[in-house]
Amino acid sequence: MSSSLEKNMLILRSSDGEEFIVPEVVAVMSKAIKNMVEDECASNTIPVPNVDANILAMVIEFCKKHDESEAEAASDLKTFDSEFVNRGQEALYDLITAANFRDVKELLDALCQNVAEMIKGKSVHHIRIQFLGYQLFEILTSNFIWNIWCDRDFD
Amino acid sequence: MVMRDRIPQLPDSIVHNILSLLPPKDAARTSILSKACHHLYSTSPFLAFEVGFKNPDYIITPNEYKKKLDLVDKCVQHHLLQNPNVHAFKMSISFPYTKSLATCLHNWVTIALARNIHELNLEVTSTTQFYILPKSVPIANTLKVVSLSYCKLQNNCLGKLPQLQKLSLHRVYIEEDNHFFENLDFHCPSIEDFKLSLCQGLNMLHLGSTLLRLKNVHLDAAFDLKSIVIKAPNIHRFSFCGRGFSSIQHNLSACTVLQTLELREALITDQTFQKLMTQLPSLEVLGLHSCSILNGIKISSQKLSRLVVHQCLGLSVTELDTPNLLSIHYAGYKMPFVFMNTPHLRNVDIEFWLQSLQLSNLDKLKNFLLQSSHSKDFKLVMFYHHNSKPIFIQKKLSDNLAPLYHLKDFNPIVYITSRTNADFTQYLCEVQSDSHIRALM
Repeated sequence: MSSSLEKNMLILRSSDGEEFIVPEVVAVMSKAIKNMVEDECASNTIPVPNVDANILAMVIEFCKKHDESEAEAASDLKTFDSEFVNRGQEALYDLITAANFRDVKELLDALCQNVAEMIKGKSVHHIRIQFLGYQLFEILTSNFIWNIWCDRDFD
Repeated sequence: MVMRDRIPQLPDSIVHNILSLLPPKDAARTSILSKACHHLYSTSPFLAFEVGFKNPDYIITPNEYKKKLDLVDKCVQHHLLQNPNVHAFKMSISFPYTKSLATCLHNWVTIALARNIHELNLEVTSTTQFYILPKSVPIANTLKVVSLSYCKLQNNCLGKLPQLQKLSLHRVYIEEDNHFFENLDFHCPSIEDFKLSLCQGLNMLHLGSTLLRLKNVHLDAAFDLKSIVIKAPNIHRFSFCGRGFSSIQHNLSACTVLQTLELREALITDQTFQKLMTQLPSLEVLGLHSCSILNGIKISSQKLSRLVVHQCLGLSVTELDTPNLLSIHYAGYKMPFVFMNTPHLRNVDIEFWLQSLQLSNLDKLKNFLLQSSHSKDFKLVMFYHHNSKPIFIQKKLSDNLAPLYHLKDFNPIVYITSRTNADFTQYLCEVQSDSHIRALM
């Protein structure tokens, strides 16, 4: 650890080897890291496997914002959250996996809410195109009549 | 084609979480996406149903009614019995009230409770009658969250719910309030959150000193409510909406740790308010919304950090002695603050009509704005009316308030804000849709 580093800073290393210097208060928003810090097995660099630099940077950005704006109005934070999670599906999936794996509750909640918004009010056909990439096998095996029944309005 | 089927591959707990955030109908739809999705839906711990008619005026024949209810009954029972991890049962039904509906509801609740659910959410919207909760509720040991709408409680009590943390009653008929609150005091010791809205039959609200864990209390205009006595010592947040009905006696003297107080459409007089404030030494957030008979008040508090005043038309705050105030939000016709001691003010949103401000008070306004160390971040924006473009923007509100003098004749709306540009534009959109009021607190 370099000597210029303050005591309350932690180094996080992503799966592809990039290192991030993060204040401890921000890093411990991840319960997994918090446990490591509390158990004092985080003396040096903390490896964050399964999370690449790109995604880790996003998670850190989110945690920083939430740490700073604790005193601010909840409505401001909400706008930030909804803008933050508005990303492509690949990034969304990686973020959810990262948030789940590192146990960052606020981020996970915001992400789940976003996926729910994406599904809300859409027809089965639409969701299938959006999320399942239209797998031929599924279409052939799924019951056509059953689909129509579920897509109609219930009276 | 790119394979995009990654969302269903997420861990089950996350997919279940997402499903629980969806309206019941949308969640049910996902079950036919694929076999994996069907499995995920049918094992979701959050069981939610929403049954009703699209057209509420539709007159249904008895035969149709029976057929439909049978179908619903079959489906609900199947899910309640087959789902291996059922954890929460949510039923929202808007059928005309009949005996057979009551029997079905009894059945469902009994099965659900027998499966040791943690959360029960029942909404029975029927115009004619209240649904009376079955006796099986009083023995539910695992229930943590109970939310009832349009129901009636048997024997006017909830019974023994040792784990209950969150209780929300909406349009529930409570006949003997003594009995109800006595029961709550002695048999629901873990309760943390209590929400009561538009309940009938309630005369007196009494939350006893045995409710040590109670933190949040939300009350929304019970029409017959006369007095509120809260002795629970650890309440952090109390929010009250009076809906302009008769004034109510508040007694919050036991709530010495109260941090957030919100009063909405409450007929509260100056004296009562002053007395209330002296009882609450730990108050950090104060919200006043449409308290129309408040006239001249003094707010003096060491700990207050956030103040929201919204549409209190007659109000003028003659003294605001709050050395630790960080954030202030005000929207109304006239500028109400006369004397302020707020050196740490950082977040400001003040909106008023310029003409209501006397020239002599302009200097006071200037003083108050400049005494804060963050005043260089404050912006001054003026509009002709809410939907027009800004006629004047001053980015840094230093000691120059001259534009206020020049534009006085136009009677613009004045905003003094600490927001950034993008943020402010969005805030204005919200103001115009007037939906932001609830989000502010």
